[in-house]
Amino acid sequence: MAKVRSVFENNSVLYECSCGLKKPLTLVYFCRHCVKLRCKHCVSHEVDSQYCQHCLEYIPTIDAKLKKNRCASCYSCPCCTHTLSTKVSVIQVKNEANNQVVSKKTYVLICGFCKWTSKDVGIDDQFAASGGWPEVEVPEAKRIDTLFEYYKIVAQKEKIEKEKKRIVHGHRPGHAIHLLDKYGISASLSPKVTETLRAKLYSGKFMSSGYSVDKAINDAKYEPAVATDTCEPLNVDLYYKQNLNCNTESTIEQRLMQIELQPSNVSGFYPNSKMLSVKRSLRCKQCDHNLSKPEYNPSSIKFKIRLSAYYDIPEIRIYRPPNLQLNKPCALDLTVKNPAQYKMHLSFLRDAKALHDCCNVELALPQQEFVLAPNDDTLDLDVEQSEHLKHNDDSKVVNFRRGNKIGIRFAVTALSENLCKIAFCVKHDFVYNFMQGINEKGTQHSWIIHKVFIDLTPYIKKRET
Amino acid sequence: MGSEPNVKIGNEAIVCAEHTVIEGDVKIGCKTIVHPTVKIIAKNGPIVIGDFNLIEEYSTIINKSEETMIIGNYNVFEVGSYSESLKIGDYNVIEYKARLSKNTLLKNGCVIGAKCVVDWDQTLDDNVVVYGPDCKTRIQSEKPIAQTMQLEFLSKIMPNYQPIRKPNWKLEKAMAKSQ
Amino acid sequence: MEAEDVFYNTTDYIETASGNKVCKKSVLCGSQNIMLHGKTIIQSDCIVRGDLANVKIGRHCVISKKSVIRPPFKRFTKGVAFLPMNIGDYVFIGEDSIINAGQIGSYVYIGKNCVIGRHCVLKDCCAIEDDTVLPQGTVVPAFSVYSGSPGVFTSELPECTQDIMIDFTKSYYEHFKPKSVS
Repeated sequence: MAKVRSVFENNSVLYECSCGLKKPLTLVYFCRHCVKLRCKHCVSHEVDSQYCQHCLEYIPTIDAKLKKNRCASCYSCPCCTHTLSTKVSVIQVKNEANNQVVSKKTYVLICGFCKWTSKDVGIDDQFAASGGWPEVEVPEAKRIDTLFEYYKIVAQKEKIEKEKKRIVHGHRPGHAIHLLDKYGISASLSPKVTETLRAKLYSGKFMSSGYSVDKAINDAKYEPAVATDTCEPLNVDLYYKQNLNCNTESTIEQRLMQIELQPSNVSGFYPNSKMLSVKRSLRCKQCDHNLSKPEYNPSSIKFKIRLSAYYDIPEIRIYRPPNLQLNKPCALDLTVKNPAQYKMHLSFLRDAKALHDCCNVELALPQQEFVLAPNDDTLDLDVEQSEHLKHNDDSKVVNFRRGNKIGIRFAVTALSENLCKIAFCVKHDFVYNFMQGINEKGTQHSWIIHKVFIDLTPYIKKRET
Repeated sequence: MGSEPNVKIGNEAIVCAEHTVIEGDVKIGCKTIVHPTVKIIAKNGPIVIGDFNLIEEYSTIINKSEETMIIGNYNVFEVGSYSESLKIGDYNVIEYKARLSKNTLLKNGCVIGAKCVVDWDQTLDDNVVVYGPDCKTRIQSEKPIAQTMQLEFLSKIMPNYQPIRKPNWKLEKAMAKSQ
Repeated sequence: MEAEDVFYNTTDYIETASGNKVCKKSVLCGSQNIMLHGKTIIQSDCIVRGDLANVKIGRHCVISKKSVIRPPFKRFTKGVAFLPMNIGDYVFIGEDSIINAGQIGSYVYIGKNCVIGRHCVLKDCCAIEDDTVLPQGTVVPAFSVYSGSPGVFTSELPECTQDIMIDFTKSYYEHFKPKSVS
């Protein structure tokens, strides 16, 4: 596995999310409101904004929808998927009116990887730097559009039925109109249908609104697809008797990339508009608070809300590879880092259920409670000695203290050569400063217990065979 | 390093002396630029490099055979490229970390893409582009443009910063011109 | 795993007043045009081409063995030039990688044996997997991982990438120690 992953995801130490999945700490969120661990699989994802990965331009939702979630000015190479760049060349053009020769700039799309150019498909050079590249007429466009229109109405109908049930069961009826827009369906429906829907919603006669959608489906005459008898005969010679030129035949990947045209020959390649990416915000499903909300600017790395567990939950790492011998208590050196701005009290607990998850191993946990110094970026890190004395640590258990980091020794006895996984609970306090009222600050103090899993299998010393 | 008698450097060529290894019977044409840390090694047969070539850092050009290795004009060997090819024409680009084996010969205007390892026993036609991890090929419509402007620019600035080996091969250049 | 100690020969390295550690076996051309902002490590056999254009490397960067940092060449309608290269803070560049980019942001991880082509733009908080080829002009947006040849978007980075990279490059520097003379 590539090393890049191991930098951003420490897969040897896993934390159990409240949904039961085991994840590296960097991928876990900590909901300060529920005081629970969350992960990407158990929170709701919301699209905040669309942007193009190449020009890094923010694209409003309506524009994105119009362009079918593609960028208007960036293209990828139909041959190798790399983004095309524009090449400028200066040509001499004779002005018809006064017979003077003027130099004019022309632009060509060119791929920096496989050297494909827009000239290859016969697109004329453009005289403007950005955009204006001719769009290809898709043969089935009209049919696809009517199908889209039809399915939008079907989706609308299904959603309204769902909503009806919600209202009957008395769940948050105020959310109905908000949900209508959330899926972005209403805006693309005919204004007449949406108008009636909205009117009905507001007047509270929601129960009967399904009717108008049914009517909309009946009103518009949508043709179902019809199978034909006529079938092109298979030309066997094409496959067996003709010499294939691999340089001009397109590959399956290339055809699928241009799904609407599917050219069989490379001469039919057209520049592909680049797909847009999204910035997402995450929301806790239990308390509806945001766990992550990025800023709108596509190249910004700042967040309005960022509740990564990395900033609240102490990070446990293996300090150095342990040398595990079979049936012998061996030292396992871990480090624990306090990410918070306050003193953290932390202890390790044996958990019956966690113990069950341990495989073929005996684990001796330190019994005492540890106090971790607060995280202070400005602190000089050369004060190891004095800190050790200050906390009155047992040198058998505590290897070292360095700022907000502490080195702790566990005793592990591996009982099998093939598997050694340990599990334990970490209990620590969590202080949350929140705004109470307008100017008052409140402090919430609570204890968190979460499960940690460490896979030590790679460190078992194999018996000489 | 040092000054091997068999290394001939053409008129107006810029051959950086820093960490550059040039061994054996090597002729470098005029206006060719050799960046630092380049290896040009003629183990057995000689190497003849033409004019206006650009050879970048950590490139290796090595002739392990008895035959003469001929490299034409206006070729670019990008950073980290490796070539044993016995015949390279004109206007070719060997991109970053690409490798060419002894029997892969290039005509003109070919591009060997970054990291492509090409060990085909064949001569690549004009304007062939090799790209991607599977070394796919296609034919480009135009040959790569000559890097004359870059060569000129480099020959102006590089002598200001680093030791350059002096050209010692004017006579034959004059002959070439008269032909 | 915590960062492991990496030991270097004191005779091979020069440590500057601002804490940069530069290997004498690297090739720094036009060193008057190379600016290191402090606590940056440049390992053996690296090439930094300050003679072509100015190269600025931020704080706490690691330039691993045999990597090449080379300002990109640009052709204008009038004349040509090599464009200055800026590398942000807390950037890790793996072994054998060739950097020909136009701009590299902060908190960037570049794996080993990569090729970053001419005028590529690597925004803050992004990563390039080992053995990736980014062809010229590639833009790598924030919080994305690119890999393959040509390099394409393959996965996302976590929200806390910035702090992971600060921690990673800082602890690399702390564990990059002189070999004790015995």
